[in-house]
Amino acid sequence: MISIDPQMEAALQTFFEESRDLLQDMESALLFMEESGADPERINAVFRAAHTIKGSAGLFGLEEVVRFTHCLENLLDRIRAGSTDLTPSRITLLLSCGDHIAEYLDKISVGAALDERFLAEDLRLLTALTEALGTTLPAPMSASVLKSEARPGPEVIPPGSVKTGNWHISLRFGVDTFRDGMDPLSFLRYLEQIGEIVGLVTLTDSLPPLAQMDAESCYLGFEISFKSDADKSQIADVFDFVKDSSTVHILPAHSQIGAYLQLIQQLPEADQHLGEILVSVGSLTEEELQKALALQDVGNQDGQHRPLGAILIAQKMVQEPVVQGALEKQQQQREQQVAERQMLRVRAADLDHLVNLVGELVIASAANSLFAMQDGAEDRVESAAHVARLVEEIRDGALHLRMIDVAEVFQRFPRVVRDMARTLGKDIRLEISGEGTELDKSMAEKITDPLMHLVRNAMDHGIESAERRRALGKPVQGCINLHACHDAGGIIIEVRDDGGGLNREKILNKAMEKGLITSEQTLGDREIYALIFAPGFSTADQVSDISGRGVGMDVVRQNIEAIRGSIEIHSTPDVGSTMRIRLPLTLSIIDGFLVKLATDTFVIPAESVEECLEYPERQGVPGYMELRDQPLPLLHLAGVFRIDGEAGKRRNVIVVRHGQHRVGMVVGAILGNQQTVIKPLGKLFDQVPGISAVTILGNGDVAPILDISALIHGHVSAKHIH
Amino acid sequence: MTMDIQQEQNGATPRLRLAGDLDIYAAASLRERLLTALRQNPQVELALEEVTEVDGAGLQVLMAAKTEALRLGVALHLSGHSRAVLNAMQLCRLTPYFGDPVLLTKEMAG
Repeated sequence: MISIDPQMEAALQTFFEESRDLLQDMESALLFMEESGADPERINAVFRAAHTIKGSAGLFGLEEVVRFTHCLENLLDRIRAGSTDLTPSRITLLLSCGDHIAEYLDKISVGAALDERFLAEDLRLLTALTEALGTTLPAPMSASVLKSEARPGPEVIPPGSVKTGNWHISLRFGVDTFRDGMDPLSFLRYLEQIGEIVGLVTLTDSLPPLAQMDAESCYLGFEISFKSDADKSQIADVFDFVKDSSTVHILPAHSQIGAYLQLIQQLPEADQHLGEILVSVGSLTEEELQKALALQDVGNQDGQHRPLGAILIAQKMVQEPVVQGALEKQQQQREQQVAERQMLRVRAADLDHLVNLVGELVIASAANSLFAMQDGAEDRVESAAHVARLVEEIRDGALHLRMIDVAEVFQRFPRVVRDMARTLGKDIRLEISGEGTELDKSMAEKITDPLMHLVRNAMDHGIESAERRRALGKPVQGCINLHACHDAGGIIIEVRDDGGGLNREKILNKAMEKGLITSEQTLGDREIYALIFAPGFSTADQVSDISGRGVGMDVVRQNIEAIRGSIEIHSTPDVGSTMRIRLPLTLSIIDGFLVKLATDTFVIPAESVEECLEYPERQGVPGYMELRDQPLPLLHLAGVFRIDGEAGKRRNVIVVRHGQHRVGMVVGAILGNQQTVIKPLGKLFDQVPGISAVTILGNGDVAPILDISALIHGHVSAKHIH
Repeated sequence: MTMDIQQEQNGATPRLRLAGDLDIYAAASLRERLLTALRQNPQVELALEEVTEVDGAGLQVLMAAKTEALRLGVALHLSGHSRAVLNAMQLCRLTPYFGDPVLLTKEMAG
């Protein structure tokens, strides 16, 4: 491995990231086509992805990656050209190739050695790729016969063209080729992969004397006679990365002699000398050379200099598809540049730092408003309000920077479901809905593993075997649904399956066996389902590779709770189960609703507040009040936190909701909304029930943030026991 | 692997022993060494057994050295071509250019 300076290192990191994105795009496109059939646009996208990775890998000298991607690209090119069909088995091959490239990049990025298993896979895929390329030619009685008929059958050599059926390639590498990190020899090696170098002359004409040469400049040039079935754009693609800095001429087989004359005239070397070189590589015969030079003399006598384009077109040297290909390529590059300008990569740590600062700014701004209010000077209050409003916008903006579309989380799943369905031998499709729902990036990272586990579980244990589904009259194909939406200031992500549902009896038996419950306890469905989150709990009859080891569901719950989320299960026998994960919108700042209990201030997350009412001093049933003809359980916060309230003072009821539960919290004065930066509680206090964190108010006071979920559930279950 | 150039004496002939990658990173220093050696001696030998990698930049320094040697009337001999050197020379059809006897391994000849 070459030593890399820091700047290069950064570029390399970008390359790794971009390549992973490209591989992801490639995978999505392939999976889509597996489902809905090949379409040219997606085939093109896959090709572009492979091509870009190859090119960039070449710039970094990652030759193994280039070599592998090159073979992949060859197959893709055939598919793109329509000469090879995109069969399901080829999609599988292409997917494996994508994985393999990802693994290459992973290994290179951590500097790991390519182990034996990896090399075996490398060989297997390369062999498969070669086979896929090789088997395309004889395909009797299929559509490809019709296509191949379009090609000329026995070759008719038009008069005036040269005898050789080989391509002729002239290369003059640019002086900065080495400095750009490229090696002319590797281009020759690529050429050998798509055909045979029949003749080659290395030009020494521009090589300066040893004393004057700059050892880091490139003086190399080659004249090559090349035998290949590749078309012109394929050959031209080999030189894609030097085409701007170097001179590359490619003459097709049986070009007009005039085309060679053009070539000879354009290249810097003396005509006669170059002509002899062309003869010596085998592209021209001696006779043809003499003819060409004679033609040149005639042209000179005419005294006219025809523009190159006119000659090219007149001689039909440039094949139309080539021009088309070049135009497409230009268009692609332009589009890519535009896309690059629209996106900016930012380091996650910088963003976190910014969000932290904004958090401090929010507190400072609240203090500012408070002092302005105390001063009572009107213009100060006004300017403080203006600042506060801007700070709020900055906060939203900063948080939004961290938000990503849930689709980015979901995009990994089509592949997972596809592969696992094959492993399990079940026919399962994945439906995804609710793209466009945004969630915090750090949360997205942390939710992926639990989701993966839930999906695997649903596929393995949830979806029944085909026979059972048929017996139940269900469609044989099982369905997993991933869904996301916003709900009451949070985000809900659901994993649904249309399988057999959770087996109540089995869970109960297992729980008793494990001593989690006693046989006297009577439990509701939801409590029974919640048992599967207990450590070491698994009801699978057989431990499979995929799930069923009993580690997992408890880890899933822990992971979700670590990001202040919760999970609940809904299940109907023979209809299916839904795992519903509820997550907060963000982890660092919330809109707080400030209330007073005696002299202390408490914060209720505004997202869970539904409405505020005056406390009815006269009640029917104690502990409940009537709200629009519905009973609403009341929770006296002063009682919960053992604060001696001044009875008789006006009290209020804040109606809060968590999930489907609703409770009226009885508090003192209502202070209103305020931005609240969440400060986690220290180890000493994190067990305090009913409080999730604290915040610092503008006046410097510390205010606890209420843990609505714990308060409601503590309250609700306490009521049940009574 | 960065290039290491050892100078030893083979009778009256100075022998430059190259070890490591003969590439763009080594090209400049190799050029200096060759230039000095060619100007000071009637014959020079380049031992290539331990060359692990050759790129275009390394190859073109060897080519320029050969031309320079011919111009100065110095006998420049390349010897013990490693597999990497042979591969590069064969790829560019340069073996006759240097005119040194090379030993092809069985698989390369095949």
